[in-house]
Amino acid sequence: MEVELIKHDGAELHFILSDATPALANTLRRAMLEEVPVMAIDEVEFVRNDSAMYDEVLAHRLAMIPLKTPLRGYVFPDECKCGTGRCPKCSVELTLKAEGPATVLSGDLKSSDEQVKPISPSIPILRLLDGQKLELVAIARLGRGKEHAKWQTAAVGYKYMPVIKIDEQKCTACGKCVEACPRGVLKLENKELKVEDVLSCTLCKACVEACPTEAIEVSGDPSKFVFKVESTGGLPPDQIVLLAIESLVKKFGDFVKAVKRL
Amino acid sequence: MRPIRCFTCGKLLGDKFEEFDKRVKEGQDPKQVLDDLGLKRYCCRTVMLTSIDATDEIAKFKR
Repeated sequence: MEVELIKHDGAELHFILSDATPALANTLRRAMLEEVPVMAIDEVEFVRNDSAMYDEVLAHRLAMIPLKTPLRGYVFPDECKCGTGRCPKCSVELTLKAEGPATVLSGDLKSSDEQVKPISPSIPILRLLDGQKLELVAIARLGRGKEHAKWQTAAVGYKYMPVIKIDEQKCTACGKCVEACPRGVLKLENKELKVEDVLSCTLCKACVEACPTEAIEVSGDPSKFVFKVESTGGLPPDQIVLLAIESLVKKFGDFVKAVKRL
Repeated sequence: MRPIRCFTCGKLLGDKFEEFDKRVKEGQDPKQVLDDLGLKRYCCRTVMLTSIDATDEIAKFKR
């Protein structure tokens, strides 16, 4: 098995996984979506809310704000010794106090830990009219994407590695496939058809249909996968991959232990 | 209020509406603005194009 990095740029990580199976690729994808621990607002205590927005709706909006999460900085509330889910090892308090007229932004949330805060300070939460007051304490905790989408820290997708075969005997270099391709994968160069950007191919086969001489063949290699990991901002994308693999290693470790006990 | 994240993929959109609304109001092509904001998937683009802010309408009424 081999991994080749294509792009690592801020919130995005693209890589090619070779010598793998679809089952393994999907296991990895699902682990990244469901198993990576990240912080999100889990409970909100309202002191005062004069706005037109119901407490429940406001709490839900607060939960959707992605929070920066320090690596291994916190423990899961159900694994914490405190047992209440309210101690500084397993929770962060974000307080919000505002008075209208104002648009309350995510940057108005005051965190008890500087490392855990909204990834962007300019997310509008709600609007307050003249004289309306809002006061609340939000408690953020570590969680996993499989429990709620607010703890989902990345959008992950993969496709089979595209394989484009051009039969030079049949190709007349008419250029119809180049026009048909929506991604600009193919290119005519000195009356010769070339694959310009194979990674952009989505296997749509528009070129195959457009070709009058059946000179192009497009297929996906089921042992090679092009992964795209896009972090919501809570954790860096490379750490998301590593934490997902770590969770899988732990799961299989538990499985081996359970089998040995049989 | 406008949504904070994309309904489908979970990408953060909340902080992008201000710029999007402003530039579209100025007459720029929404397609170009969405491209500039780095929204590639059609799920995020749909949310940006179709959500309506009814906050001020609702604010007139009591809860």
